[in-house]
Amino acid sequence: MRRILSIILSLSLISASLTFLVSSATAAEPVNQFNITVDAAIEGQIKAFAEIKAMFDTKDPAPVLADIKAKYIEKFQAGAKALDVFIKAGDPKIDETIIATLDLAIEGKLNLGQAKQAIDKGLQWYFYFLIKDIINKKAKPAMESGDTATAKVELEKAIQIYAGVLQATAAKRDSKFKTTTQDLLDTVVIPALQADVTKKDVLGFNLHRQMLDKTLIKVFILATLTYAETIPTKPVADQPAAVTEGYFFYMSVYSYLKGGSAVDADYIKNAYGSGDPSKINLEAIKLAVTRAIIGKVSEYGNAAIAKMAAGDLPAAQVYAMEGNMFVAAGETFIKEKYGELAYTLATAQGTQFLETVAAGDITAAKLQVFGTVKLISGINGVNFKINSKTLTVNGVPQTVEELAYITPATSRTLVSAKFLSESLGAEVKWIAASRTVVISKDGVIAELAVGSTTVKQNGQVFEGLTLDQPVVIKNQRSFIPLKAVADLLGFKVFYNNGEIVIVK
Amino acid sequence: MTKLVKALALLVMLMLVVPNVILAYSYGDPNQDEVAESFKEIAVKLNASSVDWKGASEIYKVRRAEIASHFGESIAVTLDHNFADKNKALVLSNFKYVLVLNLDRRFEYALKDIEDYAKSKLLLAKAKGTFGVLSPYVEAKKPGLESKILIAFDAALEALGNPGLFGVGEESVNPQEFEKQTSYILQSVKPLFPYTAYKIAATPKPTAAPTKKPETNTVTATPLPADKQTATPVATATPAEVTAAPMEETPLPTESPETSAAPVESVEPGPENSSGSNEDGNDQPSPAAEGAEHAPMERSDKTNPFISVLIIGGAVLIIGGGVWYARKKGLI
Repeated sequence: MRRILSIILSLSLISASLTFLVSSATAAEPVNQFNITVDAAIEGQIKAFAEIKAMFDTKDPAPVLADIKAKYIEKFQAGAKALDVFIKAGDPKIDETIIATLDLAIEGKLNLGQAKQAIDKGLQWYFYFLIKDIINKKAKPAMESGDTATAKVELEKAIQIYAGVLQATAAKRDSKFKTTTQDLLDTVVIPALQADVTKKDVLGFNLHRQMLDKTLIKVFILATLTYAETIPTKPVADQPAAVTEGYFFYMSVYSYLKGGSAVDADYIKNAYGSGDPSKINLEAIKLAVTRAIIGKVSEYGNAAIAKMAAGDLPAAQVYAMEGNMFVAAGETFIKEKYGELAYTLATAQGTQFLETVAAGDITAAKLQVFGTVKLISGINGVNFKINSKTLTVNGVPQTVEELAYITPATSRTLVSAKFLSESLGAEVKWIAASRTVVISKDGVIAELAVGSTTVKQNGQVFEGLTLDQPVVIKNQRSFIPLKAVADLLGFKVFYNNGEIVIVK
Repeated sequence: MTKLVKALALLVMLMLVVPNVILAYSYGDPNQDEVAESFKEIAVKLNASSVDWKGASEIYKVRRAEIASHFGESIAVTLDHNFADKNKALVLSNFKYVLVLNLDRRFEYALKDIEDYAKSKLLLAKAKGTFGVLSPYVEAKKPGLESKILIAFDAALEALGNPGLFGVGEESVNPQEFEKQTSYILQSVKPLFPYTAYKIAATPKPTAAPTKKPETNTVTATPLPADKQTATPVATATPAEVTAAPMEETPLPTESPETSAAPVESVEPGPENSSGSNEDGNDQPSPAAEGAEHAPMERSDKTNPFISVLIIGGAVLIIGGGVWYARKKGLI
C-alpha cells in the first residue's frame, strides 16, 4: 500500500513539475518583433484599452457612456492618478481631463465622438507617461545600480506598451509626414536599449532612452499638427471630435514644449482647449510648435555646454542627445524651410556634436551649438553681425538704421530700441520722466533705467539679474544691453566671432 | 522694363512653387501593394459560389491603367480579353504573372534607390506585400519554397542597412547582397506563374460561317525580354482544361506544379477573339522595357484626390494672391 502511495505521489510531483515547466516555457516565449517576454499586467492594460475603445463602436445596444466611464475607472484611473502626481501643478492632469470630458459627454454637453477621443487619445497620453515612468523611475535606477535583470524586465514592459499602443500612432504620422519615427524606434532605438542592458552600458542607456522619449514626443507633435491641418477640412459635425483628438494628443507633450516656450505652448493648449474648431489655425500652431522646439534645442545646447564646463561629460552627452532629438523633432520644419539636404546635414552635425561633447572639446562644441541655432534661427529667430546694417529675421534679411555694437568696457552687445523692436518684435517705449526704457513682448514687461544696474520684470525688481552694462544714451538714442533684455523676454542669445543669433 | 523683369521673375517663382506643391503624393499602406490587393479581391469575386464577373471587372478596371503603365499595354489587353471571355483560369493565372512583374518592378526601383533607405525599404515592403498574396500559390506549387523566400526577404532587408540617427544604429548598405537576394526570389517565383498572351488570329477574318471555330490557334508565351528571362516554362491548356478547375483559388490553389509546368499552352480563341480588335496583341510584351521609365508607384492612381483638390486649390490661391500683389505693386 505504501509503495502504491509512493508511486502515486511521485507521479503527481512529476506531473506538477512538467505542468510548471510547460507553463513557464509558454510565459517566457517571445511574442513580438522585439523578442520580449510579455508582462501579464501590461498585457491586461493593453487589452483593456482595446476593449474600452470597442465599447464606443457597438450598434445594438448603443454605447453607454456611464459603462465606459466605469470601465475607465476600473482599469485605468488608479494608474492615471499615480502618474498625475508627477505632472507640474497647474498643468492638465490625465485622469482629471479624461473624467471631466466623459462627465460632460454624459451630461450631453459633449458628443459621443468627443468622449471616444478622450478615451482613445487620453489613454495614449497615459501610456506614454507610463513608458516614461517605467524607463526613468525603474529601468534607469536598476541600470545604475547594476541590476540589469530588473532593468531588462522594466525595459521590456515599456517596449510592450509601445508595441501595443503607440507603434500604430507612429506609423500613421510617418505615413502622413514621410517621417521614419516607427522605423527609427523599431530598428535603432529599441534594439540599442536592449543592447545597453545586455552590455550593462549605463551611458548608452541614458542616451538611447532620450531617443525613445523624444521620438515619441515627435510623434505627438506631428499628431498635433495633423489635426490643426485636417480640422477645417472635416464636416462640421466631425470637427468637435477632431478638436478633442488634437487636444489629447497635444497634452502628451504640452509640459515639454512649455519648457521651450511657455507662451507658445499655452497658445496651442488654449486653441485646442477652447473646443472651438474656428480657433484652430494651422499656421499659428505650426509657428508655436516651431518656436517651442527651437526653445528646447537652444536650452539643451546651452545645458550641454554648461555640463562640459563643469566637467560632467556623461551628463553633457545626455543633454546633447536631447538637443539633437529636438532638432529631429523639427524635421518637417527644417525640410519645409531648407529642403531634405539641410535636415540630413543638421543630423550629421548633431552626430559630430555628440562626438565633440564626448571628447570634451568645449570650443568645438560651442561652435556646433552656434551652427545649429543659426540654422534654426532662419526658421524662427534673429541673426546679425556686429557693425552690420543687415538683420535677418526669420530668414528674411532687413536693413536697420542703427548698428549694434559691443562696448569694450564690458564686452556687452548694445542695440537700439528700434533694432530691438524690429528683431524680436518687442514693443519699446522711452519714458522721459524716469529716463527708463520699457520693453513689452508676449505679456512680459521689462523696465531698464539709464545708469541703473537693476531691472524690473512686470513691475517687480528682477532679483535674478544685475546688469553689468546699464542702458546707454548715445547720439540722443538709448542703447540697450541685448542679452539682459533677451533673458528677460525669454529669448536666448548665442555669439560667435562677431555674429549673433537670438532664438527662443 | 524693370516692371516687366519683376513680373517675369514673379511668374518664374510661381511656376517653381506650383509643380512642387502639386506633386504631393501618398504611398498608402507600406505593407500592402495595391496591385496585389486588387488580385485578392478579384480572386474572391471569381471564386464565389456565384461568380461575380461584374465586380471583378470593376476592380480590374481601376487597376488597369497602372498595369498598362508599368507592365505594358499588351498585358492589359490580354487581361481585357480574359475578362471579356469570362475565362476565370486565365484571368487568375495571368494576374498572378502580373504580380511577379510587380515584384520585379519593386525590386528594380528599390535597388535603384538603395541609397535612400526609407524609399527602398518601402518598396521592399511593397514587394513583400505582393509576395504575401502569391505565397499560398507558391507553397502549393513548390512546398518549402515560401519559407526560403521569406528568409531571402529578411536578408534583402538587412542588406538595405540603416542610416540610424546621430550615429546610433548605423548599418552600411550592401547593394550586391540586395540584388543577390531579390534575384533569387524572382528566379524562384517566375517559373511558377506563366503568362498566356492573348493572340490575334493570324488567319483572315471569319468567313460567312462564324459558328465554325478555327481548328488550332497556338499561343507561345514568352513575355519577358531576353535579359530578364529565367527558365519560364510555357504552359499548355485548352479552354476545356482551363475551365475544368473553377475553384482553383479557394481556399488555396489546387493547381499542381505539374499543370503549370506543362510545355506548351494553346488557347482556342472564341469568335470575338478572332475579330482582330487587339491592336497590341503581340505575344512578347516587354514589360520591363515599357515600365522602365515609370516611377515605382503609379502616381495617377495613388494620389489622394481630396488632398490633390486641396493642394491645387491652394496653388490657385497662391497664384491669385501673387497676381493681386503684383497688380497692387504695379508690377503688372
